[in-house]
Amino acid sequence: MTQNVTIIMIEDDEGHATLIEKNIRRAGIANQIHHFRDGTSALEFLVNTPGGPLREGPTLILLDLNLPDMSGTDILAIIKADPELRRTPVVVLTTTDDRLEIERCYDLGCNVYITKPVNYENFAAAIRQLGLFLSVITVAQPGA
Amino acid sequence: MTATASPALPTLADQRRFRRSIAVFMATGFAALLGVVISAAVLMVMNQRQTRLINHTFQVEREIASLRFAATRLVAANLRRTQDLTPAAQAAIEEARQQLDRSLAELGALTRDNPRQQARMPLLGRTAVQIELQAGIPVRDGLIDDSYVFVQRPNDLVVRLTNVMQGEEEALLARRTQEQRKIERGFYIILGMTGLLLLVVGGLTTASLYSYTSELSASRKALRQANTGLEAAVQARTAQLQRANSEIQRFAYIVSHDLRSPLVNVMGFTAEMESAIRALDDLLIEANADRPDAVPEDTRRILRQDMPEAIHFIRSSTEKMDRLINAILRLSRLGRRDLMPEWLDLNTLVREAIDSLRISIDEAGGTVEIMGTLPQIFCDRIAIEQIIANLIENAVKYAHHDRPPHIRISATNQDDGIALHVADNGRGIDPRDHERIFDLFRRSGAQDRSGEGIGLAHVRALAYRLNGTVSLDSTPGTGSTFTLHVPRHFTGNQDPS
Repeated sequence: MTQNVTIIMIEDDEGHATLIEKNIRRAGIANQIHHFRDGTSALEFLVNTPGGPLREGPTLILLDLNLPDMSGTDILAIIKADPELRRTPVVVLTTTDDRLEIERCYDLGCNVYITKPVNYENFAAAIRQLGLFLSVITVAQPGA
Repeated sequence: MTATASPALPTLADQRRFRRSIAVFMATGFAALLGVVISAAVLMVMNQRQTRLINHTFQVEREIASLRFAATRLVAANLRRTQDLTPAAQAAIEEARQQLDRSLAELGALTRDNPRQQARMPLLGRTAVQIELQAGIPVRDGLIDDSYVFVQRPNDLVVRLTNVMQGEEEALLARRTQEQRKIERGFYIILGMTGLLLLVVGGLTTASLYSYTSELSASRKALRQANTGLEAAVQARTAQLQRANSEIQRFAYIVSHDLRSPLVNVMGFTAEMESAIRALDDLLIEANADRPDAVPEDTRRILRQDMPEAIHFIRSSTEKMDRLINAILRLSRLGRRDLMPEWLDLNTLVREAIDSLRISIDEAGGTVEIMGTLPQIFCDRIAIEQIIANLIENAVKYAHHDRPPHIRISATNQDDGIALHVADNGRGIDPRDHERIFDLFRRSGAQDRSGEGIGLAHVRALAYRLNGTVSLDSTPGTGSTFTLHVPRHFTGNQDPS
């Protein structure tokens, strides 16, 4: 994976965030990870910060759907409605496995939907797959 | 609901009053008609009598005139005879005399009811006889006696007498005509009064009918309003229940999802800890190789036994918790799924369920038998399939230790639907647990089979959704019969939650 791709992780559960990061690192991914615990600050960083990833370089977003301040689907909708952000790949990584919710995410333009399995081995495997995925995808360059 | 009882609603007393007044009006009307008929009849009879009397008077008058005429003719004929001695003149005399006699006799008969006229009759008779004598007609015996007085001009006397009699009769006629007019007037008065009475009765009847009808329509309107109110109340209540139901389902859904999130952490960090212990263990092995006494026995035991054991318990408990959460999720999803009723042949459905469970049935050495022909029902396929599969699976799973499972499936028709019976010869269920086993996570008897206590809760939830029920009849040690009652034709009342 291109070294300069920034990973933005929007995840309110500290434990989940730690486990995700651990497994990403174990998969051999060394990219910078920005972690946000709520939707508001994540959107602030994504949309409004001058030094934000939008204008700095390619980005990949890991998004949890159950956030304390807003629904993950709302964040997804905002990202996919933004003319500059909409090409940014979004990986929804959440506990929800409701069929309707999954369909809604894909309808909104989510690129990958991963359900967090309770079983840790499966969880670790899913993150490793994500690492594999990250190593082969080509992310759109901003302004390209 | 607050019943909006209308004040216009007629009471039972009102209805009785109405019936009574109608009856009174009808009776009055009929009585009036009857009165008219009777009085008309009476007046008619009276009128007839008057008419007869008037006719009688006319007859008397006619007879008087005839008598006078006969007397005049006789006198004239007699005068003529002095110049004309022909037999023709003689015959005219004879004819006039006969007419005079006939009139006299007739008048006597006619005036028998009138003593005043009757008193004049002897004089008239004698005068007539005198006229006859003068005409040379022989007097019949007994008519002329010693007291007989002859008058100078008998014809004048006859004229005078008959004039008086005529006057008398005319007076009578006038009186009788007046009488008749009075009767007629009375008749008209009665007729008019009856007409008036009928008009009044008719008016009153119409008025009371009108008021009663308007009361009836008002009460019908009130009833319709009450009905609409009731319907609205039922609808509101149904909506409330549906809201409560979907609230519970949403609650179950959210809770189970939110419970999952911490479980991911527990499992994840337990695994992390496990790998940390493995690393420590490697370190321990290395240390042991260098200096066997460096690590005390206690530390070794903690690392090798206690901690792996703790982690094992954490793991198995979390896994169980995950299964339970998944069960709740499944049940809540079940309530959210839209039911799609279609015509189902239970024979096919049951055979398919048996085929899908073939492996476990064969493993247990069991047999499943369909008794008779099962009916067709209009219901949701998936729900019925799951219920049947669950019941058969349970029957196989909880077989008696001493005998292979034998399961009989039959159906009976009932008033409001069908009953599907799944009977086994298994270990049976303690009567105390007959209700409990349908609760989520509850099981009965020896816990020697794996399971979470979800199947029957699932079955009952499905049965309820199909507007049905599931019941149990069981004797411990002998067997159990589970019965599913469902409507033959599912009408569907699923809420769009």
